[in-house]
Amino acid sequence: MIRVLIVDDHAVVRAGLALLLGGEPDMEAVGEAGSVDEAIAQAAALAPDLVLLDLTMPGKTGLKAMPGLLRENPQLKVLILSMEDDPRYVREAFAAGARGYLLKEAAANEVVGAIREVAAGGRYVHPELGARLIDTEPDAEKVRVDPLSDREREVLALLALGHTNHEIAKQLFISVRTAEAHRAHIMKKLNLGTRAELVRYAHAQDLPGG
Amino acid sequence: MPVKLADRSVPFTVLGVGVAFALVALPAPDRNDGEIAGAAVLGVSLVALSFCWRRIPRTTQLVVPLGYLALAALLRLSDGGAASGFGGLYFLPILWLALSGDRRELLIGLVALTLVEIVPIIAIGAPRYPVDSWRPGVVRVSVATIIGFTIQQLLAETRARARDATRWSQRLESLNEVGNALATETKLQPLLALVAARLRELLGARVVAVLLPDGPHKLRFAAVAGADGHALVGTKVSRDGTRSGLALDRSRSERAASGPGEPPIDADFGGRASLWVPLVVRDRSIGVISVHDKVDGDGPDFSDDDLRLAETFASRAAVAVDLSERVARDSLQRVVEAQEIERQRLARELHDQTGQTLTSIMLGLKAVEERLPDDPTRGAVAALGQQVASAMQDVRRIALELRPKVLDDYGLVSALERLTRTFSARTGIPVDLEARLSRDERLPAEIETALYRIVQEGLTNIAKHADPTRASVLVTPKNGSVVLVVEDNGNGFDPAAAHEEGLGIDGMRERVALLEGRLTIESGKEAGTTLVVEVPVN
Repeated sequence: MIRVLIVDDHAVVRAGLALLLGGEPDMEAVGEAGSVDEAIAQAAALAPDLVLLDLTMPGKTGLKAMPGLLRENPQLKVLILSMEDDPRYVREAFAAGARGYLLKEAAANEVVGAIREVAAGGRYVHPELGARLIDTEPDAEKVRVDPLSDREREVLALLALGHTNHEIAKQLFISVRTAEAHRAHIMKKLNLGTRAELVRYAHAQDLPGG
Repeated sequence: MPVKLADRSVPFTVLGVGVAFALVALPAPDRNDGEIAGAAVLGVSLVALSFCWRRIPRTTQLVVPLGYLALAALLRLSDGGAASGFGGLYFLPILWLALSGDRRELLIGLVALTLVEIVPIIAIGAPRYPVDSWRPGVVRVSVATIIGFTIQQLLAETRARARDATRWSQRLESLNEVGNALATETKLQPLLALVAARLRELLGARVVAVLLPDGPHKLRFAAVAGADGHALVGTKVSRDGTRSGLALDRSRSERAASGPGEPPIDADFGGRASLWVPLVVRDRSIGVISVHDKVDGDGPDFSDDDLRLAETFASRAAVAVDLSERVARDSLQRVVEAQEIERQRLARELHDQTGQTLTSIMLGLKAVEERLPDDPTRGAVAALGQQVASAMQDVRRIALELRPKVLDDYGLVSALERLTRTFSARTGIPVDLEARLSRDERLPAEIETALYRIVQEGLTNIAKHADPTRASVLVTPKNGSVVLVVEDNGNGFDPAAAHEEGLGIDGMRERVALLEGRLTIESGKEAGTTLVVEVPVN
């Protein structure tokens, strides 16, 4: 039997979750908490196996509560149930010690499975969120041999600082057309398509401004 | 400076003629009654003429003295060369012409006089009157000329002084009036209109305009005095390549003299002699006063004095413009802040309240669904649950558009990551985001909000108009400021064209101005668009 503590500042949500869990033979909602402080007290009193934790709560957020909860109850598993779908929150939650992350809109269908998975020692992320997480992992910098001329490197450094073609032309005492041509050459040589890529390249090359 | 009989000094002129007449005509003992009567009639008619003098065209005016000389010549010829009748008073027209202050006309008179003296001699031989009797005539002519000039100089000087005094008191009055208006008038428009009107009066200019910058390439007529200029108020002229723009960019006054070689300066005014004086506040030019065509004054050109006066007015106007800009900026700032707070509140409400309520409904439906036997009702409940889930997604999307929570919690970079990803997913346009700030680096909240909104607006424009194959967003620090670049390789547009207005660029510019930053747009047909924002971070 998986003993679950439900932490959410909305009583209706807690009630709904309790109802849902009540229908499962292998899990039991042992308690409910409406705030972080309450959750810590309940966790100490009830020693649940798993906490279903909302991130956004008035006062202390679920994210901030996690280290304290886990310190007091090292065996406790935390499954986040949140409205926030930004990868940033997912990453932060896992960094703080959560074992699973569930979106509220998917709760009805996924919560039971996620609880089982996490209680069994696994991890759970809403599939779409997992994909997004991978998307936003910073790329490893690809440092290439620098095929640029000195002038092109100057232009690149200025592009990386956010200058327009006009400004670059003025600063390097060249025509706007020439500045545009330099930029086109740089992009072609490096096989890059956007300014953002240019900046990344400049940075990898340790050019000023990169 | 010459004073002309044709101008407003008629009473002085009359007095001068009278005095000269009395001095020269009265002490002559050898004059007969006919001469004196003739002189009196002439004097009276001249005085009478003076009163309606201004209404007579100049060429007609010349007929009087020249006609008189011709008459004198005829008389002399008719009486066989004797100096009789009022022929002896031929000094009068010379006095008249001397007083008129026009040297050319005086010369014509003297030539005419010489002819009057010489023609009878040639025609009928030497005069029969005693040899020494020609002297009084010459003396009278000389004295009359000298007196005429002297009176005219005195009149000119008196008038010039009176005019100077009037001008100074006018200047003081006008400056005082402008100063008072500055303290009491809260609206910019009437104040600038007052500055333009007073300056025009004082400089005797045909038209005076106050121009304020409108975007980077245009100047807007904020106030115009003279030459039906009020119709121009609100219209725009180019800033690039105009003298107004030059004065503004250089923060230095410009002056153009009249003259045949000078082309018309401003298509709107056709002005020749002109001044352009920048409105400078704290070493920053915020507008320009342009003055065209000196129509009332000492010469066709504006003097150093005029320029100084215009600069004094410009400094007053600058204070007013600066103040009103700051007031406008303050209220804009309050509106922007209030709007953000309201958006934040709505987003939270949607997210926390509506979102949670929908969650509970969905959970409830799920519980109901599981307790139902496997029949159509169960399917219907499941479908309801799906609808609630999609309503939750809508709520999240709206909350995100209003104001992403991640912007408050984790800052600009995380928010932009989210924004660009959502944008790409929705539009299919890949957006390459490069933030050279670390993910957790926080900028002042108002800068984060402004930059976020600008990227939002910029991406919206790209999706609507640019049709690019890719776009990029760059955020990078640069000596004490942060630079944002939003760029695409799409259609582009002509930034100088009026097209800008539909793109919300004015709104972006205002936001950037609130942060004392600058916004640059570089674009061209088929050349993509680069939007650069640089904001100082203190």
